[in-house]
Amino acid sequence: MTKKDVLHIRLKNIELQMERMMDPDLKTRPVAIISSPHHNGSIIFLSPEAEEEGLSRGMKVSVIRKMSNCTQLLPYNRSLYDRIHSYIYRALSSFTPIVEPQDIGEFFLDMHGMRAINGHIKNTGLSVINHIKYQTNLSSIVGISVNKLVSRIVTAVIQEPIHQVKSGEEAQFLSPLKPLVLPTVREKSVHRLLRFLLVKHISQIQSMTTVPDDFRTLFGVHASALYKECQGHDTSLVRPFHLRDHILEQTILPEDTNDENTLYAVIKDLSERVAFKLRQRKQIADKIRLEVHYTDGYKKQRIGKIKGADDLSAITECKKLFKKANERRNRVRTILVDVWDFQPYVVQEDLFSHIEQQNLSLSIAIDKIRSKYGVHSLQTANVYQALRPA
Amino acid sequence: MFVHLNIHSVYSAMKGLLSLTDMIGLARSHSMNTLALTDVNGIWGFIRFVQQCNSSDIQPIAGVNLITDKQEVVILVENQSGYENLCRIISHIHDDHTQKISDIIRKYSSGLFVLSYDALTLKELQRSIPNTHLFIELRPGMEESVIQKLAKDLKLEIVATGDVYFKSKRDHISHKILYAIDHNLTLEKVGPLGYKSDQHWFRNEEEMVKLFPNSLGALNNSRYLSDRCKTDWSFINTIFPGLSLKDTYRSNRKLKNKVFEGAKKRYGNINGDVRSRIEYELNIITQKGFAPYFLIVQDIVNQTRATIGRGSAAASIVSYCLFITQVDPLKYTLQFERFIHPERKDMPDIDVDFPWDERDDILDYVFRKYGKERTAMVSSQVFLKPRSAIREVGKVYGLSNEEIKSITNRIGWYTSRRDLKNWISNDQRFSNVNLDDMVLKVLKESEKVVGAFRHSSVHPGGVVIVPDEIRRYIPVLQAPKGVQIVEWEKDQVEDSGLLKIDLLGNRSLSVVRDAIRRINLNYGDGASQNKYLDYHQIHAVGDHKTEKIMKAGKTMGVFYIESPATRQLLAKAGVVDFEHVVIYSSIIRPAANRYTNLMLSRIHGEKWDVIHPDMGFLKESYGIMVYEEQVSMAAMTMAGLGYAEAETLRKTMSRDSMKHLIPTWKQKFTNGAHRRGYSLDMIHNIWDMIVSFVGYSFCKPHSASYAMLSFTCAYLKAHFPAEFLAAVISNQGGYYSSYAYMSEARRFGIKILHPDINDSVYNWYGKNNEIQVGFMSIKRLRQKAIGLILDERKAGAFDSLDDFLFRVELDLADAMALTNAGCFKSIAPDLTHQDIAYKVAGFYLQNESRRSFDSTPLKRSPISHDTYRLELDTFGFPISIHPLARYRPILSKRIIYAKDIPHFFGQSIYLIGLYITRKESMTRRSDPMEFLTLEDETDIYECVLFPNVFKEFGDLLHWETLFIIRGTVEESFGVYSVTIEKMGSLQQWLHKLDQDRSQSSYALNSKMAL
Repeated sequence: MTKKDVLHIRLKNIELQMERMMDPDLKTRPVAIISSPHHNGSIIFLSPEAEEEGLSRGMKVSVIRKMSNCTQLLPYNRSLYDRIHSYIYRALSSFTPIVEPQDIGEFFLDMHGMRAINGHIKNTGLSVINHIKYQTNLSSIVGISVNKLVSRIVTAVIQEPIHQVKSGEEAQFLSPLKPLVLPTVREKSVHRLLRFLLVKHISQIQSMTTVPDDFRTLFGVHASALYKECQGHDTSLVRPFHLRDHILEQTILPEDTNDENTLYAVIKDLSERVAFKLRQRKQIADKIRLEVHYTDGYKKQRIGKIKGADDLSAITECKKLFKKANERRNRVRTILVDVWDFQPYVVQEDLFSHIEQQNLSLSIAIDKIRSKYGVHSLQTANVYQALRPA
Repeated sequence: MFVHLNIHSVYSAMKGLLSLTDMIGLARSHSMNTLALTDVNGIWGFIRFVQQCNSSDIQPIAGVNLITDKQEVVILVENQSGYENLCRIISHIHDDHTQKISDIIRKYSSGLFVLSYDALTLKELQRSIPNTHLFIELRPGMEESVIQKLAKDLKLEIVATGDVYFKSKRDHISHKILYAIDHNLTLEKVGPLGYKSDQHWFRNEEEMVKLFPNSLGALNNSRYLSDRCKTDWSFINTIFPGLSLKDTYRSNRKLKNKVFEGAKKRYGNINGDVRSRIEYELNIITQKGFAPYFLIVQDIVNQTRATIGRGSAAASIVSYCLFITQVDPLKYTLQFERFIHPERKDMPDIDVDFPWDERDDILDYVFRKYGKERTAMVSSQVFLKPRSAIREVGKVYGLSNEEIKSITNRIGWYTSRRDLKNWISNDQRFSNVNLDDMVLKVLKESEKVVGAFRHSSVHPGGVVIVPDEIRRYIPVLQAPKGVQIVEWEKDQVEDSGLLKIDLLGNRSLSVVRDAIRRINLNYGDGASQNKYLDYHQIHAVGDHKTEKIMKAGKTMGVFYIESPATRQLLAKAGVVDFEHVVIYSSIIRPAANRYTNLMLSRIHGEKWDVIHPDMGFLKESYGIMVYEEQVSMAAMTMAGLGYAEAETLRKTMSRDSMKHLIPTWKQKFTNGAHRRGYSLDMIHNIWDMIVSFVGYSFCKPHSASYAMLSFTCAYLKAHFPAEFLAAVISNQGGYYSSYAYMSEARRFGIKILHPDINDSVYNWYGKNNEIQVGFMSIKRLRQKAIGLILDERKAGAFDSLDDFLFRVELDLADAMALTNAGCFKSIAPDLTHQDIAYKVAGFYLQNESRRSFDSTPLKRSPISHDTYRLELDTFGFPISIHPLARYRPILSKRIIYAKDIPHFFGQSIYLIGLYITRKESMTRRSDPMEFLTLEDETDIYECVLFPNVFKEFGDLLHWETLFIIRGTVEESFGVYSVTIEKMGSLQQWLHKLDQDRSQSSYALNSKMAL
């Protein structure tokens, strides 16, 4: 029987790097990506500049706002991070056909039976790290074990680029670690109980399993899962994931504003860009999501549907969604349009010259210029004004 | 000649922008001698309007602009009965906003003139109002021809109005901003409707003629109508009691009997002085018909034991004998005339403080006894202040919370500055705020909306009682809290002649009550033998031990003299007899700092004399003006003012709403005094003293009342510190946090005991130099669970953990809270915290046929860090160890302890400190500075951040609680403080130190490797 090898790849701080790629202004500013803009929200990632301001990971938004006015708080921009995530996913597919993307910047690779092709598992891990670095200029670390649970814990707690936990040594590896690395411990009731019992290490949970009746009483429905996890047992499979195809367009405003003329001009520009891409693909989208990000880190979103492939249909729908989404009085920082669930459309000769048909013809005519000179080669004055650097 | 009959002031909530001063100023500048105030749905500022009109020779007309969802009319008052109907109509509109105005007016139409521009409304009103009292309103934005046609159809006369909302056309944007604030919109999202057009500004006659060139008759009608309105408003008629001669006779007799009965209790034998003072006071009281008032207050006061009558009422022996006040006016030479002067025409004020937790019951009693028809609470009128204005306008312009807070956090709640843009752009404390164009625009617009009326809420204690129907005198409304309130705030109520009684909650009275109760419980052999039993029998003044703690400034928790400034003043003065404490209570006010230092020098032997032989009345306070009555006396003596005028001057100084009159009074005072031969130097000196009373001052009887309670508290603290401080913490009152009081208890040698399942009760309590923490301080422990435990304990104490588990049915969350608080330690002495937690969780997680777990397989005792975290989680502060004690072992020996500060006088030292409290202040040059109180494991100490240091480190105070400081030790009158030179966050400093250390060790290792 061949050895089971599961690799876990983790790219640290991928979100922060991505934000800085999107908005170069942030490169020198203190930046913190927050879980939620509410008072209870906390910092997920932060730049060294923000650290110098005295901020630290996990710090509450209410405290950040008191401590540092100049730190730019950014909401967790899932759509943006998805892009780079899917890119890395494709890059990793060259090592094994079974790649399971997990959270942003995290992947499982099932290397079962691949030793013959790739050689020693640690060498494979090293190749993966190098490949990602070459393709994206991002650094990553690799955890190796016989199952997903332990591999993932390895990358979470070990700082070395590659670390392997050998088969049969899982319980021993886990015992000095903090309980929070186990997924079941993140269940509120389990976490609360372990905190109450002053349990600091997994070894203590392991010792509690010696009295099975008490263990079952204490942890109820979670007892079985917790028992397996604390011993390092995990039978779940690495499952490849079918990535969602989507078009995503985003504009970071030159200056935070709630001037409606500027905002509607940006909406118009985003809609035209999306509609242009749709026509290039000869598709229409059943789902369109518009997100409005505010200066204080809050965001609002609405989902709709684009009925036609012409610019006007996209503009009308986006304006409608924006009107619904933009309920707050704060100034807007970023607007994002994401479309998916594509359907093909057929251009049919129109015998009776409907207005929709006229719109589509007009859009197709403009597309010719856009294809040749770029998407922003033709702009209305208000869009030009809105996108002009401050 | 045109008269404005429809003007809205700032009292038209979130609509009007015209202050009363501006409005009257404009009227005068355009030679208008009559004005009608017609605020939207209320007469919120009517008394102020009348007062200001009277002082500017303008005839004031009462009116209202009623606006509901269905109709809009303007109502003007013709006579007194019309005023009463106006109040009733407004009250009805407050009751139900959806009612038709015409339906309400039909019931109360007499004595009113009604104006409307709506044909349907006018037709409905014509059924109940004669054409002599009903008019068509022609206001800006209306077609003259349309209105003229309507007049012809309905056979009614037209009256032109300005429908004014703002001063000039330029202010229209501010009106629009108010609308956006009121509707939570940005300026971009405000539609074209819902607010007034830019036509609604204050026009003079010429401009009105230009606006309505074809309606000169309508313009003249405004004059004719104004002549028919009531303009002679007099509010000096006391509205209470309105009793018959027989009732008055009975009240007088009853009061006399009660007073003499009380005098026997207070004095034992009634000697000649007491009798003659009582008779003198009773004579005036009965002459003025105030006897029922005293009886009502006494009836209310009787509902509880520990009360304190404050204000000028404390100067009355009648109040003292009725147990309304607690200071003997004879013993402390308090002048009755400050309370009721034979010349005084307005109602005397009796303010009574009750224990805070009994006040609601007292209010219930008052409402029950006198009924909702006769009783209402006074309102608090909330206006946009600089802080709230910037916040709201910032939101209208889309600023984020952080941007807004970066400015507003630096502005005090009570700041009254209006030149916001200029101030914030130039003041040091805003130096690190990013003032971009948008922010500057917000500041500019904020300036214009400061002072706009937002809404009214319930005053904490003012109650109005009238003899018949309250809606006759003043409009009433239902506050969101569910209480009936009047439209006016306390000053207008007082000036209107309504009977107002202030029934305020006072936490220190509850502290005294609880402390006495606990002392009796701990040490009282029998209630009747116990000398501490009765609140009224404590003899605190002159008690050596009491004076000792006061002299040392150890008065944290003591009513009114516990702030750092007062504690330092007590310690610096070193004289703490009753008379001096009364002076200290009065002189500690923001504008009197320099007089405090002057007084201290004089107490410590500096030679002084009163500024002029005529100012002999200043002798009792070291030649410095300390009490309000000294202001009146100075005005009468120097400027030759009469009693009433001098009283008005005093009121002008103490009321924010009358601030604008100060320059006029200064002129009057200076001229009068100069005429009477006083030198200009002396006049300026005395006026400076008078000005130090602006906004915040007391009369001597009030200070004496408070000083008496201070002495009572200090007595309890000196003799029973554990019982007293436990009561302070239990009542969650005072200047400091519970933690600060707990630290103070430790400094008094008191041991703090963790909550215990058998010994703790809901509150904290003290006994024999120990304080038992109460269940109330355990976070996440519900009141219901506390009730269950206390009920079950009545059946006997819990003798083991199992006994508790099987007897008390709790939720796991409550049981966890109790465990984390260490409540079970005494009944499970052999078990570790982890053992107890294991058993408790195991037990309460079983559903049925519960069993107790045997022992835990978990083997680890909690370390001190666990205990610290548990205590922080459970109580919000550590109990077992001082927060700084954890850091001390890793800190340099150069960082000294607070107890050693006096040994380093004049030297620069390092200290660490935990934040206790702070107070921002201003230098004479208006630079901001800060007084900071910190403590370490050994003592509490005071620090000063002067402007340059405050500018650099002031921000830190917004978020940090543990500090490391470097400062110089200063001394003043034997009291030491630290002038901070540098300060930093202790935790950040240690973090940096740690990093530096690891870097240097890395460098060392690298060198070695090489």
